[in-house]
Amino acid sequence: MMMMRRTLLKGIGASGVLTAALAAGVLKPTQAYAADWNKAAFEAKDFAGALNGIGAANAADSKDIVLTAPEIAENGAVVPVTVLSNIRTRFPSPSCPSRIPCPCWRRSISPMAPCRKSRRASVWPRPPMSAPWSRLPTASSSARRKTSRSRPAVVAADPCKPSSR
Amino acid sequence: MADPMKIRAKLQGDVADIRVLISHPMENGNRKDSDGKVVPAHFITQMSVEVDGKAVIQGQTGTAISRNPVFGFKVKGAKAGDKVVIKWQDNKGESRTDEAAIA
Amino acid sequence: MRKIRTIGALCTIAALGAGPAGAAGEAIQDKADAEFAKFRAEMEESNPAELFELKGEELWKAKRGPNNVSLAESCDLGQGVGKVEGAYVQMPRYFKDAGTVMDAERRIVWCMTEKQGFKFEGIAKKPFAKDEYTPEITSLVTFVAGQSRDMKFAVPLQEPHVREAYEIGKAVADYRAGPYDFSCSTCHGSDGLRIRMQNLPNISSHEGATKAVLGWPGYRMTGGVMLTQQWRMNDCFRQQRFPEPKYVSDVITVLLTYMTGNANGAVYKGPGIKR
Repeated sequence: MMMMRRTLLKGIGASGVLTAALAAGVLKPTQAYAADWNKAAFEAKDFAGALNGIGAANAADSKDIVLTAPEIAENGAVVPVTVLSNIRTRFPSPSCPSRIPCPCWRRSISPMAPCRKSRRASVWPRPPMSAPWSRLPTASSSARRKTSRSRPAVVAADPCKPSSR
Repeated sequence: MADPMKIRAKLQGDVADIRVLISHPMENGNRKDSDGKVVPAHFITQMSVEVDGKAVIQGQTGTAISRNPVFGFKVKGAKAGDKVVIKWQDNKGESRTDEAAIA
Repeated sequence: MRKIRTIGALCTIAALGAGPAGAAGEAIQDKADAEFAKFRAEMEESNPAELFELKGEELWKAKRGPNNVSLAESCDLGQGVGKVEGAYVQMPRYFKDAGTVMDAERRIVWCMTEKQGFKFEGIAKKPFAKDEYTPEITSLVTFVAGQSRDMKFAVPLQEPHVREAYEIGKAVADYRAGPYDFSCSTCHGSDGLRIRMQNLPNISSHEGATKAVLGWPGYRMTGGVMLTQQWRMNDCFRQQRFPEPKYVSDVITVLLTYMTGNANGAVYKGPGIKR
């Protein structure tokens, strides 16, 4: 489901109503517009065609995007439509950086990315206890991990939202 | 140069309520004028909203948007005095950029 | 959490037909009224009329016309030369230099012809907005009206000329003419009347007159144009199949005096939005 949503976001390229994923550093503020006008999607003749055009061919219903419109419009040519996005995005800031060092990897990771453990049972060097992402796996959770290698051992806590989902 | 946009940006707590009124004919290319000739399509295709230098909205719009459109955005985490820059571009290549500060 | 509101043609909703005025019909009417009121309130928050207000402000302050003078330095709307605040809600009023009662649009046209040197025929040729054309006078009236936002209507009815105009306006509103023998009162003379989904305000009562004058000048969603009271009166005449009234003529002024006079005391909310 996460991958589907990522594909949707990438495919849409913030067409019309969705927020831009600035956190990943994909969009630079100096860029004028992220993508060319999506002619295929806008000229689609039906709903399925339009979804195909934005790369959301098998989009599932979700509460992350909510559309509302009035029941009766006094004038059908002018209807206020509200789009509510519950997808979390945030601006990188010193307390909430876009990338953090990952003790498990040599590279830095996004705070919301899962921190995959290496083959070593222990983690070294340990991050300072004060860091919000210091809730890292211990040896016991690594034992559990042996059964399903495809899933990450732990999802690093989002430093910007103490109560992640 | 197109007519200026009117941008209103008010801070309510930590959420900035940004409203922009754009002056644009937004012709969808299907309408016929009184002589019976089809009025050519002339509508906004891209628009972007930046708050404090960071892109908040990058949108592609089409013929479904009505004339003189009004857009409203609520952005969390903005501060008073942040600069809001809104720019749009239409299918004929015209464009317009306006800015305002969050009150 | 981010909210983006766009105004677009989401779907065309078939207009509810004008059924018999039975209990069911009135129930639909009330529910529809409630929805329309909500719809209007939402639309009025961000009213495209403000764009025309900005334009009008530019035009008011710019030196224009053969005499190269701005309205800001030459036009007296009743509050003093160049003073616009509160002027709209005190019109129509009697102007000694013009020698007659004038409403806002008529007064601004007078200023444009007398002070700036424009030709009346040039303004009267296309006085109303249509498609993408919005006349300068419309933007000016919208600006002037916007400067009276949140003020109470105060047409000076005690002034003899205005009183006379009011009485004539009352008589004109009851005067039946045209091929259908319509008068203004045919549609706007009693409570509770409507045409399809539009309620018809009773201009002879205070509440009805208030409803009639609030929201003008108004941005009309149908066609996306800015319209003034002069346009509305002209269109009423057309709908009654009356001969077309001359632009900013006396008959329109007296009718506006009658309607606005009846609305005295009501708070004007500024340019509004119409269907």
